[in-house]
Amino acid sequence: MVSPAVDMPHVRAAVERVVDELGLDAFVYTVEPKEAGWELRVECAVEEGWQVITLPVDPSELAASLSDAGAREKLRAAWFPHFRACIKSGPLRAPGTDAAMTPHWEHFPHEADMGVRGFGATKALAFEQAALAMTAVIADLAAVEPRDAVRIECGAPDDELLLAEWLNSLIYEMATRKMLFSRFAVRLDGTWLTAEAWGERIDVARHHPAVEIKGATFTALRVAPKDGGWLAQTVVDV
Amino acid sequence: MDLNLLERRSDYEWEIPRCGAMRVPAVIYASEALMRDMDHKVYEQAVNVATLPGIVKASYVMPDAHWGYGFPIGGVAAFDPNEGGVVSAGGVGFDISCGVRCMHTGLKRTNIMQVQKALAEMLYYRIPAGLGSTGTIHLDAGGMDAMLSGGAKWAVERGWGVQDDLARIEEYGQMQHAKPGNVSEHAKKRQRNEMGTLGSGNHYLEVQEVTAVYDQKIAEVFGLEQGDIVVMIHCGSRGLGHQIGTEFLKRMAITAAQYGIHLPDRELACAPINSDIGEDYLGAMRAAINCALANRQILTHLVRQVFADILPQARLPLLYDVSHNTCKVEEHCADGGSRRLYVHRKGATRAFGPEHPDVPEPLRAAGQPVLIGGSMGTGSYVLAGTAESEAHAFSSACHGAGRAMSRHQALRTWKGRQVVDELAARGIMIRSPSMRGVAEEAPDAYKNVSAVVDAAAAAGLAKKVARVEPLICIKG
Repeated sequence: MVSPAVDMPHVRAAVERVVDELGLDAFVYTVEPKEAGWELRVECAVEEGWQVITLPVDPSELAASLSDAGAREKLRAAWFPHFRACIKSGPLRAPGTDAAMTPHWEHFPHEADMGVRGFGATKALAFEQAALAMTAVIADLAAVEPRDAVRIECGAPDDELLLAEWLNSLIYEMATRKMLFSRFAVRLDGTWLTAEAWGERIDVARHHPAVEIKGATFTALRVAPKDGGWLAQTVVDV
Repeated sequence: MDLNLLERRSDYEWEIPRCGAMRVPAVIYASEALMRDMDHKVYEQAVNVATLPGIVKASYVMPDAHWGYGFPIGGVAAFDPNEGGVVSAGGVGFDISCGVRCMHTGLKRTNIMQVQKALAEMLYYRIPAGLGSTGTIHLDAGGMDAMLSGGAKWAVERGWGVQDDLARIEEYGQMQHAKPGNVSEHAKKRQRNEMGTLGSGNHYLEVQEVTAVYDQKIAEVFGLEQGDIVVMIHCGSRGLGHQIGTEFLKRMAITAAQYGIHLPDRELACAPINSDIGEDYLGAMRAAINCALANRQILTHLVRQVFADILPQARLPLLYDVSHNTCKVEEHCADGGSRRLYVHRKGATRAFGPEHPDVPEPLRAAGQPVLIGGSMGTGSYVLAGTAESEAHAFSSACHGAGRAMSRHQALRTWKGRQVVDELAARGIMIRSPSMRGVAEEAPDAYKNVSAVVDAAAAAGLAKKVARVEPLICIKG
């Protein structure tokens, strides 16, 4: 029985958002009061079948996280170890099988150019979000259809140079294929990155590309833990 | 910038005295007002450059300086290879040999205003601009290497221009010692379909009117009169230069420690001039300079074709072509003698004074033309190098207005359409594939170009010759 004090639509919306940001392939869930307190039960797709995960949750904390990015970040970090098997540690997600990526990025000002910053429960997710932020420098992300996939592999001596290398690889693919990308799936093995980027050919009339990015720089370049998750940022030269 | 951190040498010269790891002082040329508005990051970056091995005299900063990558944009630094001097990919920048070229037309304002809309539409139609645009020239491997060795000379030989153009381009249109073999396949692939394209960001092509002449004598040598119409192009080495910058920045950042170079900022990535990687970069960077010169030459040809169709009486000889993101080997006076130095100009224009042997004969008495691109819809300037400039910053001057506001802030402040309409009300026609791009480049997002040029002139970096204002702007 659900207590009238609990705002269930908000609790459900919060669960969906946090789980979605964790980057699961597919999942079903229930969130309800049990004898020991409220419990979240998630069945998520793993490489061969489904896995059931149960976690204690606080419904008011969940509802509040909808409007509080910091609280969401904390939840993601706390839940992440439990969902590790479901998150892209296995094969990369297939294109178009899940909803559009939940944005968790921002731009930060640089006098001449633009800073791109991604957050994620994992380093790989933060790299994906930084890539989303980069596309958003050029065009409205919602206008870029994830139709075709491009595979990218690159390596670097450390995390920060790897972030620059990842973004520069995308810039190269954008320039030579005349494409924009709006979905990314990154896997990191140490400082070796394997990824797929989904996007489509640039359509000037539809995308109204504002600028061409020349390169990802080392200015304000940072890959670091933040609030239990990861931050990945740099400035791109436009 | 906190002026208490600097020592004032004169009204327009400020020094950051040598301290800590600095090998030389840093010197900023600017008015007090420009100094107060200058980002503190410029101070930090000028100090960082002063710590690099082999730097000669000082780390210099131009009046339009703003926060760059490792080097400030508007930074000048010279290095001596015999003293362990370095070459820096960040000190040249991603858009290698980005620059400005100016053409005469022999026309006056009335000629343009009669056909302003048709001319704007045709220029916009024929000049590939913005992200995703491709040129009509597609180079195979042999053509690519020939272009990277030949520069504007290669373009003229292919019919995109005339021999007389070459004397009006730095290096006479062809950068020597370019090594196409040092340019990666990635960089070449990125350029294959981009010859003769304008690019985006702050790159543009403008039809402009000379609205003021400050030095009649030099203007006469340059062939400029009040009311004349000129065409100015601002663009660089396109994808090829960007890719070379990206690749060498990484290589140099990784190898710096092996050469015993301590980098206060990774973006300062550099290598000794006398090293394999230093030589590799110089060969590739010179090839990128040729790419930029060839690109601006092809754009010149496209502009001439448009004018031939719409204003057939026009003739468009070149006034001059300058590059403002380069590293060049030059002879300079330093410490009592002439020395062969590797001069980095990142967002700074070479400004050789009168009688310098590298200034082409017809212009030599007046000094090298220094072309300063303003922000979209404001004004641009033609300056001339001065004799005293050599004693300041290795004969260098500013390169543009310099941003005063981030793209982020500009986007929050203006709508592209509003900028286009406001400029149209002043008789300036803008054509661009992106309204957001227009908003990001709004005129007020930049420093006042007149204040920058006045400071450069007052500091003795260059002499004011003429001001030009746009009638048509094609923005990438």
